[in-house]
Amino acid sequence: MRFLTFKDVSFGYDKERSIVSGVTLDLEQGEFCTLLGRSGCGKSTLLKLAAGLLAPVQGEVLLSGTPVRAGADIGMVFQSPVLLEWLNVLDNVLLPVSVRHKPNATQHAYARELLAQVGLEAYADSYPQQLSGGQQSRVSLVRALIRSPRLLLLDEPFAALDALTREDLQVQLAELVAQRGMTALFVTHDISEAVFLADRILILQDGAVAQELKRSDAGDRSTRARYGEQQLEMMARARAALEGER
Amino acid sequence: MNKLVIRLLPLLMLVGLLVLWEWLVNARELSELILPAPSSIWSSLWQGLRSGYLLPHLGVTLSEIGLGFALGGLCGFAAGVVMGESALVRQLLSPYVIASQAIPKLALAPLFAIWFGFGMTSKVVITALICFFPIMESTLTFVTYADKAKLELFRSLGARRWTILLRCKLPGGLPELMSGVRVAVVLAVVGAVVGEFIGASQGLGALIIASQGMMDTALMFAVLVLLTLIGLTLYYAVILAERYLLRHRYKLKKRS
Repeated sequence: MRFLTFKDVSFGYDKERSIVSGVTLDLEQGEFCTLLGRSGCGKSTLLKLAAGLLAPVQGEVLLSGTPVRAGADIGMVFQSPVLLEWLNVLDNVLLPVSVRHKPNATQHAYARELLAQVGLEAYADSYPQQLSGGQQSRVSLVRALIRSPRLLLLDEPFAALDALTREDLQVQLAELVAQRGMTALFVTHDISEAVFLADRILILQDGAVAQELKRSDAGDRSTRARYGEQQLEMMARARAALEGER
Repeated sequence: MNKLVIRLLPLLMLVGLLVLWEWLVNARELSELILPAPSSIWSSLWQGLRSGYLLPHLGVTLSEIGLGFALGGLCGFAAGVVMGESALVRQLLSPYVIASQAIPKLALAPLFAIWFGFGMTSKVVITALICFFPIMESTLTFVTYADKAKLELFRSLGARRWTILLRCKLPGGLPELMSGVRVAVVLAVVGAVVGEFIGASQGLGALIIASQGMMDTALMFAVLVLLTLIGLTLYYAVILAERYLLRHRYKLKKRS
């Protein structure tokens, strides 16, 4: 079933230069899709269009058949964790709820449960600056899940982390998304990350989808899969696709 | 040098200066009219407080400071928010705001005395006008230059404009706002006293003018000491409020 649809979408801040041009794309319900491309190829802009933060100058972005609207059934994770330093971890996680109404006991319990899932239950009353970079990324991830959105958009959320933390978080992310049957669109310039997480990899070039790669062993996110032959082969193909852009 | 000694240095310096001042006045036999000794000033201050002579004046000046600061602060905050939130209003009012900044506000005190009379109102208005600008400027800054990443987060959550202002811009801009409040609270003392200079029968500024007429320089210094204490107390009260409001951020800064 088509869930997120880009219909001939173009976007640019001025008429002379478009950042996204004529993108047509369908994401299935429950699919994990990564957008892979070099810096400045329009990945983040495409994600903002999907989030309803930018309006296309041409075409339309639909979520379950209706034009996408910021905040509606969408969770977003940014490049930096963007935690509010005047709120503790629990209140940061509950922010998507509290911008609309006072969180109730069930939502408080759910926030604590999510924090427990990423190993941060002991930090609920801490403040963001007391956490490490990896812990802050986990908080921003569970914040995006608190309203149980069906679509999760992630804009290079682990780019600033060390390799080991990044691998741990990738596994946690994949588990959280799979458990909830969510659709995820993940932007990255890291080939290994794109291949490991994705059911489908979209190679972006000059604001348009240049190539699509599908994993045959989609869903296997074990350490063996991460360093397995298929992963390496897919990485080589993705690399070749990126090289082919030039 | 240990930390306690470093902290006490300004106090020790003050004591040293007072001793030097007292010695100079006595050694040179300077007239009380020109420069009274610190002991005379203290005696004048103590008698004024003990007899209750200074208290009504103190009360009037404190009321003017409080009312003027509250009025100017609220108007400055509201104007900063409206200008920060609306590009049109900002565009429209900016030239006038800059022009009014250029006018020496204290020069308007005689005009306000004509408009509002010699009672408390004219002093409250001049104090409010002086407090208005630093608070408006700091509010405008934090509303206009709020953290873009945080604004994007709130927009991605579908937050309304009012929610973004109250939940994102205001708490995020609290350090800027408090720096404006710090400046305004000290200027409020200047505003009230200068207003009283122009024409008043009560208040510490009026007492300075009266002591000049009575050639009571010691009383004049005593009032100046009181005004300094008011300014310092208000300034540190704002610092304490700031520490409380930003307590989590301060704690973490200390740790790092």
